[in-house]
Amino acid sequence: MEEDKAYGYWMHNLPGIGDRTIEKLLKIYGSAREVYAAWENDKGNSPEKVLGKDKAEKIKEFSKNWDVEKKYEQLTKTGIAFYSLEDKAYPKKLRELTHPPYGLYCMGNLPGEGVPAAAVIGARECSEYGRYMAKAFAGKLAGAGVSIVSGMARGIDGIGQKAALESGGKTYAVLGSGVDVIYPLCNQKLYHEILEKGGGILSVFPPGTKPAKNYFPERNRIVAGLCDVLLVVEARIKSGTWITVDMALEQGKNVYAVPGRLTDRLSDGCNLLIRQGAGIALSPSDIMAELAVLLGRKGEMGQEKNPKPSYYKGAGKKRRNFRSDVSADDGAGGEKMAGEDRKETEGADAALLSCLDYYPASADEILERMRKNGKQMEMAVLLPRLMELCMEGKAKQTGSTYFAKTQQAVPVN
Amino acid sequence: MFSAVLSGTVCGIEGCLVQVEVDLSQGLPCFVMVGSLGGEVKESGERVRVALKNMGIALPPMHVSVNLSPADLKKAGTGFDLPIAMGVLAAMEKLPQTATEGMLVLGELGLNGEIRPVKGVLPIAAGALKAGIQRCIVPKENAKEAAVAGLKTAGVMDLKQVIDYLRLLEKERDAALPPEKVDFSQYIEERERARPGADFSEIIGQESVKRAALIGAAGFHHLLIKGPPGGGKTMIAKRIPSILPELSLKENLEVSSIYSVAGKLPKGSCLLKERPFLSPHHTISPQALSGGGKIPRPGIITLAHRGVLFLDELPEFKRQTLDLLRQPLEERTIQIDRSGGSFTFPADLMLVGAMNPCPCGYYPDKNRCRCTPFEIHNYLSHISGPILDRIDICVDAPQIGIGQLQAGQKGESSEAMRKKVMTARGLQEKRYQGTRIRFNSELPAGEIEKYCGLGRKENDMLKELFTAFHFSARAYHKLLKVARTIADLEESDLVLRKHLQEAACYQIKDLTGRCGDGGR
Repeated sequence: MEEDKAYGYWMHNLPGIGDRTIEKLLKIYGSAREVYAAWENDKGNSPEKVLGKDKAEKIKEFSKNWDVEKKYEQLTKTGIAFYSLEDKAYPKKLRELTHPPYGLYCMGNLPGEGVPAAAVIGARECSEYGRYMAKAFAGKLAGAGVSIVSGMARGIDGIGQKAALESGGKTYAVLGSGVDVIYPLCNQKLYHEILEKGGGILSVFPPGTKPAKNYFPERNRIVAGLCDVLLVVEARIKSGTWITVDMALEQGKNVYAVPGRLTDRLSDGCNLLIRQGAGIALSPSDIMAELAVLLGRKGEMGQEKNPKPSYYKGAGKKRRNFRSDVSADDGAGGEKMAGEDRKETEGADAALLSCLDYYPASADEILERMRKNGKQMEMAVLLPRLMELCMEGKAKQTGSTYFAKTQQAVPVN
Repeated sequence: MFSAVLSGTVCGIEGCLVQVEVDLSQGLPCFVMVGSLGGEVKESGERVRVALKNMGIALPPMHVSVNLSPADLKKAGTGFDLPIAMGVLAAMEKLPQTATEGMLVLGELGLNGEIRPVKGVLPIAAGALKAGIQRCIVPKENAKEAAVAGLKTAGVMDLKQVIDYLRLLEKERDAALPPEKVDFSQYIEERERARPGADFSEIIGQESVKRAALIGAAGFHHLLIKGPPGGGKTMIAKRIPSILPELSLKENLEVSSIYSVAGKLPKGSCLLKERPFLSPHHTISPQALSGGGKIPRPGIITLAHRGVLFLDELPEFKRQTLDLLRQPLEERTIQIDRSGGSFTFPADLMLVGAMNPCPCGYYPDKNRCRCTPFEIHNYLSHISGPILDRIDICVDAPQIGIGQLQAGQKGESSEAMRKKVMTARGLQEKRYQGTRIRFNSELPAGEIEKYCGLGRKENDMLKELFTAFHFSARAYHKLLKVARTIADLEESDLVLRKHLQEAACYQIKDLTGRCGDGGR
């Protein structure tokens, strides 16, 4: 078995040979080992005939410098596992794709079979709102035992995965580079944390591959392939996120979008998705209900973390229980949030906190809002009070005199 | 025949006296000038010869030698024309030898005998006064400068007038050409009249920036304003001189002499009306900013002495240019060493920087800004850390909405703000009496704790603040200084919780941009 893998690894690294050609070769020869043997002993079905003379020569040249066993040993020594289509461990979800990738490299663990997985994706340059929503959704989903699959990109992807780790869940990152190439560099810490906490780094590109623009669509296809539900948190009209969405739809996956304000360009993509029929993600429980239906395993789901997960109460009868669902679950759903606000902010700061938003507002704007609410105050009074809120963790300062509400003002559990 | 006339030149921004000696002797007729002369001084001989000729006085066919003493001092400027002419006339015995005794003479000559203004009269006159000189003859346009320095001044228009004046006896002179008078009450009146230029009340909204400007002015803290284009950053910066205290006479003389050297005093006036406000374009060369030249001359930062230096589009300035500001911002002077000499110029200025938060300018507004963290980081890293370290207050100037503009809520006027600044300055003056410190911003690290004493509660709060905001040790001192100023503005002896909080708000935080969720 291990030896077969070594041949698979050889085949996946052949120059000028893509997944399609590999498919063709496998059809003819049966396995990677046989393909390798075809170059050694010609049985009438010579590779020259299949691939053409030039390519076959090239591969011969390449194979001379490739010691199959040694190379594979080197690979496993670096902690990278290789899974080919011929392996049993190859993720089932990928196998179901129209053109499954032949090879998959993995550091850490593969996503567990049968464990529900949600992809949380979105814009790299996200807003405070997107940041918050990604945290809230991914954190809650992961806490309930859903694995979070994403691309470890800047912005929504990384934030979602980080939140998943923080809430003790598992997350898997699919890279557009080799699994040993950390990109983007700013997520270096996240990369190591994913590995430490039992998640996995996956890629279809051989180790050492530098990220390139044309690799990302393939990466996105794998993200879409590995998830059961795709959640778009924030996207512009023109965005790489659309590739993932298209792939997911092609694969018959359900797509959910977090709605945003009509005036926010960063939410345009999500709002458009909703118009086109995507699910509306009002709270993490929406996604969890969807997952429960999909997997049809109400009892099993989420057992790792939470023996009686809140989300599956409404599973299957979502529509009927919709209203009670929202009030019972304190997710990122609108009604509940407002309720929490009221409770959390009793006292002198209530008025001030109600003038804050998840979108950063300048101190002047806040002053203006206070004035409109009939609470005129001086800048010299407002700033210390805002800073007080920051120290309490209820607000945060972005830039010098911009302030936004934080999650702590509305606990997400 | 030998004669000597007293004149002067500018060394750096100070006046030095120069003795102009003229001798006529037998020999080949020629006009020889010696004594480390700059180009414009060497040409002086020709101007003098022709001007005298056109007055009807021909030079005798003799060997004319002119020496400017001290001979090793580099002489520059056109002010030597008139003293050389006087020296020649005295040597020719057209004027009595004692006619210019104890008198400073300055002026440029035209070929028709007209006397034209020169630069640096104020510092030269002040230097002469120190050396015990009482009277002077200067061009009419410069007369006020010499008078304000304290000399008995005759302002003259042409050569003929000078000759007539000098032929009079000492006691008759004042009647013929009354000495120039400077009326300070008139100056103050003029200043009042000049006031309604730019006022803070014209600025709509931007309360936080105005507040920051007020604090900056009260403690002479350097200020950085970030914001999208069109938010009013420049408007606010231009109005900062209007809330700084009026220049005192001593300060004004100091600043005006710098302007006199640069030839930038307003025409016909001897003193500045307002604190200097300079906003050089970002293409400015390092030398123009710092001052320089073979014989060092003051640059923009020296012209901004006791005033405001406004650097718009801060990241667009060349890094090398900005880094020049390190020493002046720290020591409030700049030392320039060139082959022509070493000078220390004053540069006690309030730096006001303005910048966009990202290359496109709209950063926190994600609807318009699509800059990547990398681009933002690159943009901001044009400003070096040491410069940012010296900036005490950083504030955002957000976009102004149409609603706010139409509502047209007028803000506090400059007059009211200046009153607050004066109160805070008064308190600082009292507190730092007998020390070299003048403003809170000048507090050295070692003495901060002495003057910004905190109670136990405040100390605990400060600890909390630091952990909440990940401040550096340097930020600690800046924060305390700014908090001290805020307390002064409220006439509070103690630095309280709210003062510290507000000061913390103005600290520069994570200007290096954020990547992923790396920022808070």
